[in-house]
Amino acid sequence: MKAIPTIWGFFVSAVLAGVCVRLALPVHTQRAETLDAITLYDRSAMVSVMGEFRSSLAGYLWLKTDEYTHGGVRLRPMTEREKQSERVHRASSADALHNHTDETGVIPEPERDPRWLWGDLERHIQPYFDVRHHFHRPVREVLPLYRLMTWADPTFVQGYLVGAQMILFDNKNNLQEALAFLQEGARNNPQSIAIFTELGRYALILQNDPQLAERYLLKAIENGTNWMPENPFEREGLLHAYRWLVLKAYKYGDHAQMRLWAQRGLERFPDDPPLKMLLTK
Amino acid sequence: MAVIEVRNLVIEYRRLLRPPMRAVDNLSFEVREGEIVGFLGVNGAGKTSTIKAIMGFQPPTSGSIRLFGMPATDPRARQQVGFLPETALYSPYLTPYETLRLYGELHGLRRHALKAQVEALLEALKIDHKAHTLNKHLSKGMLQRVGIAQALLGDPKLLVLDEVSSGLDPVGRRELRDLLKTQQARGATIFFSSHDLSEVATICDRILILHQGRLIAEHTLSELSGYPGSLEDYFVATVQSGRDALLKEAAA
Amino acid sequence: MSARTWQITRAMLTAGTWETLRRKELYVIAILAVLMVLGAYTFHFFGVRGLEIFIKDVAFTAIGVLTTVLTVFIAARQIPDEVQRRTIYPLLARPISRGQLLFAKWATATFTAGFSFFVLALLTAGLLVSLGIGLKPIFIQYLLLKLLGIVWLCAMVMALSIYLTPPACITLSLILAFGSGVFNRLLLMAHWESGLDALWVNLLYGILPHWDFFDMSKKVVYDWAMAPWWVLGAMAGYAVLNGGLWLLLGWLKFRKQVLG
Repeated sequence: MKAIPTIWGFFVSAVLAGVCVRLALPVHTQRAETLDAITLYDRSAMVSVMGEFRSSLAGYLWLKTDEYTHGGVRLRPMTEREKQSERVHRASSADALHNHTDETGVIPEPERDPRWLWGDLERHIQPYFDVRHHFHRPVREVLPLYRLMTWADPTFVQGYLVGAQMILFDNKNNLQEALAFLQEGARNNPQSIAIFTELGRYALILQNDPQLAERYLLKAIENGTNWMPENPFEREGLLHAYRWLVLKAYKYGDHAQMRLWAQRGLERFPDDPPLKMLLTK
Repeated sequence: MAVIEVRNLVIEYRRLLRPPMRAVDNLSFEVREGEIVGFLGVNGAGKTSTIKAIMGFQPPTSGSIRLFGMPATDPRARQQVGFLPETALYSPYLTPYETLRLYGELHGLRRHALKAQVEALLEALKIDHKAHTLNKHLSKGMLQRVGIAQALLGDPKLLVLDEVSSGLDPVGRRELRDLLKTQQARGATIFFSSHDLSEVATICDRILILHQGRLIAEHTLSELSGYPGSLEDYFVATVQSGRDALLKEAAA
Repeated sequence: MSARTWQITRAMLTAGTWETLRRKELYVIAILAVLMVLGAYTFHFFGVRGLEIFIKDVAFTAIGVLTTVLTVFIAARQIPDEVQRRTIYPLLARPISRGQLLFAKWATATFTAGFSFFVLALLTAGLLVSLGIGLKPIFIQYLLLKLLGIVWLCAMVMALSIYLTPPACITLSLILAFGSGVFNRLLLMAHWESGLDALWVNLLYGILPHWDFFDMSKKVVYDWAMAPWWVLGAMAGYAVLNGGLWLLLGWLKFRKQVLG
């Protein structure tokens, strides 16, 4: 078929065109985040194009994890109208693995499906369950995806964060593996906020090592000193770094430190209710 | 008996935002059983349009065409017709043997009869040594021989050949003339278009000259024997006078 | 089917199969599929283990995409190639009707595309099994359903090839095939968000293409149980009825079409 060489030709041309575009554009217009990705990807055009491919692969695998967890059943966010409707069923987790907020199935349940035979056919042909009491496949099956996505893109911070959680969820005795995974993420992303916050949380709650926790949390805050990340994981990481420092001080009865970190946290996140509440304690 | 009967044939092609173009204008003629008739005309005279209409590929704007007394569009009429289109490129991924088997089966031939006919035609057209070579590796002349062979499948009573000698070398043309004479001898009627007037002069019983969609001359070769010049001279003079007559008509 | 139509169809099928085998596109696609599966499997050697579902997902996605593209290309060229090469004339000069030619060409496209899919699917399945990745019996239903889909898709593409130029036919067919799931979701959203009447939803559902309904690959990937057999029966009915309507639509134009 003549189309196949054409497809390869198109692919090669697209890569070359990407290199040219990348060479022509100033570096800072391409990537908003100041993760290590900037220094890694924006050093040369070719690395940048390949880097985009790697981030795309990681993003694809990230999306796939949800589908894998649900055995191929796809969920979607509910529309505003659906949120107000009592007929639309919300996904609820059977084993507390996921917290499905305002999600429902892509394939509707029979009682709200306007399609007659078509709906029944689709429910038999595609993977389908009633979202109200759905199941999750063993976490073990999803773990390789986190390994793969962080292998494909070592700057994919959320892969490290959720991947470590999944390692622990699979088996609570796997703390060392989860920590090793997070530390690998920290090595690959020394400028990340969220990874250090997560390491701090693990040290505080699971390792019971407040000094280590404080070092990690201070590193997280240091990484986020002069900028406010757009990435929700990093942004939340910064907020949580302040919260965990406040909670650590509260736990060990150091009220002055508690108020200090609550105050500093509110300087960065003035509307955060937990920090406000902790400030008044 | 008239094998081909064309009556008041008009073929017009519709054009966007312009008046339709008349390719064939009120054409009437007959081809009788056993004749070899040459259908002549300059490029764009309407020969291929007429042949397409005879074969049922082109619905006439008006007029009628009958083959063996049946409407040209009736598949039963085509049971007795062999057709060679102008410059057909037979599937590059089939061999001449497979190509002929395909057309033979479509014609209704089966098993031993099919095999025997295919092998005989490959030999008659001198393509048996290339019978199992893919068509894409054949020369233009070889492909034309494949085309002629497919037209002869099923021993048709009528052969309609468009630009039959196209792509053939001088040896091939001579062999083609002999082949057509053999076909006539077995009782076939042959209606063909060609720009090779020496070939026409050699094998035709009758010629029809078409110009701008109109029949401007119809003669047997014996009628033209008294003409002081070659068939080519006659053809050129006829087309020029036909053109003059049409110009006068247009001016009037 | 009359004996004559069967003879015509058989002749076309034989020639079409030779053409498909000699065009080499099947080999190229099979190599691509194998490379994709092996590519996914190579992660195994880089220390990423337990990727069975991922490898299956890649394999069946590759089969799905390549089969769709191959089927569209095979069906879209059946009639236009004959017209372009001018071989449509000696074909129609034979004692066959245009309806018989259209049917025989559709059967040829269906057989060759179905055969290519079958080879591709069995090759990939064999490769997966050799890599230690098992498949459940639903794989049989997947094969059957996809073959039914090819019956339907060939009819739709061939009808479009009569009305459109070859590039337009291929583009529109690929959009309709790959986009079928999206159109169907949009109809559902129109019902829920804009109050589109259920009757209209069902009527439009009947008209819009449903290539996605012929794909059970996700169930194979995630090892679901077999679907009830009436589902395949219903889809066979859809393939025949809807595919028949497409062929009828194509024939209505083709029977009087000026060729060349």
